[in-house]
Amino acid sequence: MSLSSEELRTEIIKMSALVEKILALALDRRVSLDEIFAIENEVNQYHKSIDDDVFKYIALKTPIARDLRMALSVMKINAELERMADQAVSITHWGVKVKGQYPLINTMTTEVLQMVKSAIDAFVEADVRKATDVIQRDQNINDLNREVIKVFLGRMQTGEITFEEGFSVIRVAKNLERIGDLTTNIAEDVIFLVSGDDIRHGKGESIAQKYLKGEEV
Amino acid sequence: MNYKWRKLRNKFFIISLSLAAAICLTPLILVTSFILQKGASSLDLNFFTQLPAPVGDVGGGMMHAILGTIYMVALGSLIAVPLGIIGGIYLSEFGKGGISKSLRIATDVMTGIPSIIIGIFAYILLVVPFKTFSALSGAFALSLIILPVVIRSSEEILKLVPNHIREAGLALGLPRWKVILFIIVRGNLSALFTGVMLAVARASGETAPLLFTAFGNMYLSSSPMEPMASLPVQIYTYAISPFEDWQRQSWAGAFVLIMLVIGVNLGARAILNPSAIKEFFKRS
Amino acid sequence: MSESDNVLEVKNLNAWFGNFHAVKNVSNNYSRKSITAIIGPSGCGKSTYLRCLNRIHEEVPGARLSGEALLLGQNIFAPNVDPVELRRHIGMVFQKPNPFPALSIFDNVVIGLKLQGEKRKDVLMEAAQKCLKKAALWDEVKEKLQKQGTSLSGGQQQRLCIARALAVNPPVLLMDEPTSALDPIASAKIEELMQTLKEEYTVIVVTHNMQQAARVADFTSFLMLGELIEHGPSEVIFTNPKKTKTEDYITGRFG
Repeated sequence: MSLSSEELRTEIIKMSALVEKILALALDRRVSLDEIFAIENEVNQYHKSIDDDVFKYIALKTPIARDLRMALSVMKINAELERMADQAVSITHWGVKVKGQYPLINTMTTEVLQMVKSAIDAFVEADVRKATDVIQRDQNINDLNREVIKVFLGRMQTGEITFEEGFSVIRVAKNLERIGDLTTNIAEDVIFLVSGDDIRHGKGESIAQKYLKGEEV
Repeated sequence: MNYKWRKLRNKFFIISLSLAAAICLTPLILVTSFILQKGASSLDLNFFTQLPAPVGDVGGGMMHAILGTIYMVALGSLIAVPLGIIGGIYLSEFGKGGISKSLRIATDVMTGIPSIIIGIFAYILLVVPFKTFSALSGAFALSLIILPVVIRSSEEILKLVPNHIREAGLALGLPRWKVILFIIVRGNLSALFTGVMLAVARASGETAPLLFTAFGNMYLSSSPMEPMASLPVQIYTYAISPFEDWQRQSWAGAFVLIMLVIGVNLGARAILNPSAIKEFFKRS
Repeated sequence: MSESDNVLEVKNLNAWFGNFHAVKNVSNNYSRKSITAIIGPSGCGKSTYLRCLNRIHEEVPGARLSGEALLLGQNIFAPNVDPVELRRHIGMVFQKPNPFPALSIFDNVVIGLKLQGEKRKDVLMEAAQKCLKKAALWDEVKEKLQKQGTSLSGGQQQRLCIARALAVNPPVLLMDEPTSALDPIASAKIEELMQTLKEEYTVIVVTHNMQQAARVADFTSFLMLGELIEHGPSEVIFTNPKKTKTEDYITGRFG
């Protein structure tokens, strides 16, 4: 039985490379839908095979401590990466309808892509500080999303842009915001993997602060 | 209150057990020291190198008896030990059938037969037809004493070998006889040897069976078909004699005999467990 | 799996101790270069089954068996088959490590070869080195081959027994609870060793430790009261067994 903690980790890293790729492509409007779907298909294959591997790994190797946390984190990150790919497909769908270039969206895009990279790096390097950094930065994305809604609702009302354009932009922003949430989830999983702490639902901020300050938690 | 009583009873128990153990040791210590006292004074080089002096004369030794004991015990062992070990192997490795049951009963009975009756048996078998007392018949009588002890001790020693060792040997694709000989027996040689030594030690002290088989001799004999002297018989002969010198010599003989028996016993144990001996010397 | 991949095919094996029917009509196939684990509650007949395969079972008075077992096509229970010869093709390692008494480490490893007639020193030395390396013991004992086999620790003794079994070069190796008498670290070493052994041999392990079966074995058989309840790849047995009895046993819901 060649299932091991290291193998699961390697598989997730390969999957995350694909997801980074599909996100970058999705936000580059010159890419064709077929190409996007091909990568999404690959991601889905990984989704199934990694879940199956984790299942077998837990059943056959009865891992504990770090190995168990790795298995559980891999399973969760697997789900989150798959949803990111879905969001990428959705962005492609709506992005096609957007005609103009908007700095707000560009800012969001850059920020989100950086967060995704940071979250995955945090996993690869088992770096809790990077992970907490990602969690903090999600705040920006949420703010930017609210801003986009406000601004573009306004522009639709004044007739500056068409309804279809405005709606599509808001959808793309929503997708980006969703991706931001997912990177936060990945970051939380990384913290669980490294430290065993579950910082979801409220404790997050205070513990994240402590990690950033380098304090003992 | 209860606790004090319990401690007291404990102490009492320990003391009485120790006393009992000491009492058990006492005969051995008494006998040995008594004989030592009486016999050591008569021990000199002559004792080991000379034949008896003419009746009534002072001096001489028991060389012939010492050699005789060694000769007959060795001859008896030669007959009994191989047979005994084979018998022991048979009982331990194949010991379930009717033959084994009979063999065990026979062996147990034989160990219980008074040695004088064994002597009579050897007399009828080997003395009467040849019309002479002989060392051979004496050795034969001794072999009948050694045989059952070796059978039983060999069986017990080999039975101690756990069954999975035998199975491991068989599992290598070896026939049963090779497993028995080259793994089981070969692996317990020192223990088997100890069992043999203990039987031999016992036989060397037997007097009754030699009385009318080897009979005794005042001279050194070298032929198995002639009567031969042995330490126990010589001791007996001298002890009941009226001569003081002979009586003194019989004490010496007794001492040598006891030393022989104790020596073989200790030697056998030392071979079996050399580490325990080293421990004993380290601590003292 | 094609027919030719099976090194051992057992058909309708039954075994008795006197009137007690210990193994009931068990059939199973064992393929080349694999490890199969046999699990089941105490007294379910798994050890008895194993001991039938190298015909050690028959050595117990009153024991008998029936059925067929084809080792590379030949029925090893046939009346004209010599059990002694058979055991050179199916080796066994026992629960309690049992190096032969009063023999050195070297002698222990080569004794199977020696007593089969091999006398050449260089051949024996080469075999000893090869098998001790296969048993992951060579480095620990190469400086002290003349020391008593019994001077080694429990885990080392068991590896010595494995080397000893390998020395006669059997294609099939039976292991009867090889780690139950060992501490966790020694057990882990043996499990690691089993993984390397399966690259050359067909290994059949009886174990009462289910996690061990899950970790180590490609295939797992579940025996209960002498019957083969289920058999399949370990990853199926331990994730989604087909029979309720199997699932009840491995989840600890009984016995």
